[in-house]
Amino acid sequence: MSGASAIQVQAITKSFGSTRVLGGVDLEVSGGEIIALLGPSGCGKTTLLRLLAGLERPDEGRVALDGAVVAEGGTFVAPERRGVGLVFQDYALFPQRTVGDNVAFGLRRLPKSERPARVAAVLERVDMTGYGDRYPHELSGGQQQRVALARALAPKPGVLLLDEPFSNLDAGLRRRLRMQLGALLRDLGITTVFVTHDQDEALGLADRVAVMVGGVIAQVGPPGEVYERPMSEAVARVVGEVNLIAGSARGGTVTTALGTFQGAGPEGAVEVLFRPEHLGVCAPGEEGARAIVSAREYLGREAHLLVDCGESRDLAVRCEAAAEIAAGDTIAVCSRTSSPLVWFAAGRVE
Amino acid sequence: MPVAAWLPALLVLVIPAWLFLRASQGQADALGQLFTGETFDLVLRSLGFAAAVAFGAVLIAVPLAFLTTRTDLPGRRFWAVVLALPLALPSYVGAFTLIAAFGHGGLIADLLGVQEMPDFYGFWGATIALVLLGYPYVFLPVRAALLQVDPTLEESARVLGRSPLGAFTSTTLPLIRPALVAGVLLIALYALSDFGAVSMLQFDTFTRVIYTQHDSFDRPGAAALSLLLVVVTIGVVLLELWMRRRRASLASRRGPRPGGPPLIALGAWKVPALLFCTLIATLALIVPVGVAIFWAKSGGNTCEYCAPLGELVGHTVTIATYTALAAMVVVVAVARYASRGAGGWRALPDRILYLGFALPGIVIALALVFFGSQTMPSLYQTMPLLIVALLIRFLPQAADTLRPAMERIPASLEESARTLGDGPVRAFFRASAPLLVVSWLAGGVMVFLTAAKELPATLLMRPTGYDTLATELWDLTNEGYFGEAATRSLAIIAVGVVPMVLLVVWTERRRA
Repeated sequence: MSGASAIQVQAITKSFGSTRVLGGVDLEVSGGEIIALLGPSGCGKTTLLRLLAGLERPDEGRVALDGAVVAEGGTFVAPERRGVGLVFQDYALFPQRTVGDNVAFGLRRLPKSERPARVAAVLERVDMTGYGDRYPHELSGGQQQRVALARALAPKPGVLLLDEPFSNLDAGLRRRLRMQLGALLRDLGITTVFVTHDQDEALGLADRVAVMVGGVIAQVGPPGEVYERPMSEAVARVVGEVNLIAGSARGGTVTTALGTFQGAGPEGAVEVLFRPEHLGVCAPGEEGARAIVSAREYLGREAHLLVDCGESRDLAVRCEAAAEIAAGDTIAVCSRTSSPLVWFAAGRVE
Repeated sequence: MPVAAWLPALLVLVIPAWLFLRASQGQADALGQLFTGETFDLVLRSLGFAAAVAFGAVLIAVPLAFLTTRTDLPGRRFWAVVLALPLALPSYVGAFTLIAAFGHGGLIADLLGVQEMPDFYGFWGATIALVLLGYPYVFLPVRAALLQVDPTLEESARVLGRSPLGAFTSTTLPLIRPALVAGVLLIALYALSDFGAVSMLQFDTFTRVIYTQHDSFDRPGAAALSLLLVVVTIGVVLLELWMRRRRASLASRRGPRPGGPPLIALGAWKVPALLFCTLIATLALIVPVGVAIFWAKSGGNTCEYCAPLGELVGHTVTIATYTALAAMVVVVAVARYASRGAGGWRALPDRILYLGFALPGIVIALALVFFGSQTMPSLYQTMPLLIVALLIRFLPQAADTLRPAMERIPASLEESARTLGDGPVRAFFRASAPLLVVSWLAGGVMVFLTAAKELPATLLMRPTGYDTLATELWDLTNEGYFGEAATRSLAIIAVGVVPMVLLVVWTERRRA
């Protein structure tokens, strides 16, 4: 196993009819890693997942699992021979089978006598002991998800693939289930690739995030890196909320209406990336940029403002919930970050 | 799989070709002779007949569909089932009933003690028979559409100030149009392709004229007219496609609401509504069965040479069983084949087979008779060729039940099975098939029931001496053996109608 990545994707392309969905994707995943494929709908992330599972054939390129080529040219290993577990967005539980039978579905190669013990063990793992005789429609969404996970894990796959694992769950449940799932996956040490369009899911659960834009992976890195140091404006927008403020850069320094900052980016006229938490309302005596509040949203812990600041319109700014600011007010906006910033060349049409 | 999918489709395509070849044979120019005033009259008469039947059916079916879905009519579910049943009665049983009741020496003349009865042969008799037996073709799709409509549309109309009835007519009624058009197409095709009723009631539409010509050995003439009938039929289908080119989707995103759409109170109209339902059920169900029972009891002339009833039932069941089994195999092959390729040419056999439904039985039979007698004499008048004809005719029925069930199954089920270690075939049988079995069997039963009642193809293609209930009933009615014909009618009702009732009741219950 040494040297071979758990998953190796090289120069994969895939078209459906005349629509090019993947335009040369490279990705390497080491054993035990949890990778998020994050991107807007239509970016090709689900297609990439299906290619890993063997449910689609790549047009060009190479896919290897644990060092063994499963798709390249004439070579194609069918999904049933890949040893890959897949949890669908809709869970795809077999409605006519009980939970236990669902979990046992992939255990045909296991001796019959060993199956009940395996089913029980996996159900215990996902905290569903005692539900073996229920039918899928008798379970809540979160329980169905855990059964689908148990079913995928039961044959002990080398790789686990999850398609939008939380999109069918209530918003209130998601964070808790996400944290539980993260703990379970790390405990199992299983290599996992999951697809999501939700930045919180990707940043919260993954070891590394692969940001997909327009059929290619635009950037791969740890959550903090893709969030703080996106390589393009497109990546920045996929990973989080974006404020762009005009500036002028020279060397590692940029000057804006909010002040002068250290960071990285091209020279000359640029647009500097400020996340909403990088901006705030100036304290008395602090010097900032004049801005007019166009909307205010109260969110309990804090309030969100939309402000127009010179040329920069609709900047998202956080402020204290108690702050007495209303739409139409004029405020002063200050920077609230001390870490290095990134900026992109200004005037690009994107 | 590809062979099982393409072979029946190719046969459908070959039928017009065979008719053309046969029509071009012989000394006389049969195709050229089509261009006469007589042919023109025939086309007009047939189309007019189809239009009259469709019109009559709409008049009956739409109010019934409305009453049984959207009003507080007492016993809605009961009426929904009962009013669908006439579909199960073959047209020639209806025709036999009319003749046995109103005909010379029939029941009414007997009761009244008169000799002369108003003449009901021809247009009016045939129209009445087909309207009463065929209106469920309109009733069922319209009813289904009424049940599927998104109730929030009407609720929006109510909130915007419409009365319950106003909301229905302004939002739901326009959405019913595609279903209504589809139903009208079905019944128009039913009228155009019907052979039993029009021939017994001596109304010269295409099918009867074709049969007469075939019977008098004008084979090229019969082929030429069959070809023309195919053209007319395709014209009707194209008209339907054109009429619903801008089809509004009426299915609710959320699906039908449990408990169904809101009901409209009938109030004082309850009594006339119930009387209307009762009248239709009486005319279309109770009268035919009652007349048959009367004649079966009273006997009439006995027939010396007739085949024993048991043998006829055996033949009927044998043919229907073979057809149903063949249809169940082919329908899975075609559907699976189509589902493997996203669109494109793999869906072609499926589409082509639907044309089979538009081909009148007598046309399919004639084409295959020509094919059999000329190229494969060893197949002529054998069971396999007859099964092929019935298969082409009734396959769409099996497909119609299976397809929606297949479309409801998400692709992810089989894909899950694949990632869990199943090959493609095993994945189908373990993940999807268990969910399809019921619809698949229901499709098979539908084919069995319709094949058991089929008349023209069986009449032309059955192995010599291999009489079925339908062919015998046809012979006996034409020869005036009403008593013997009545027992055949009742046997057909027992074989074809009673299982149909059970099937309809059962599917209604599953839907609920």
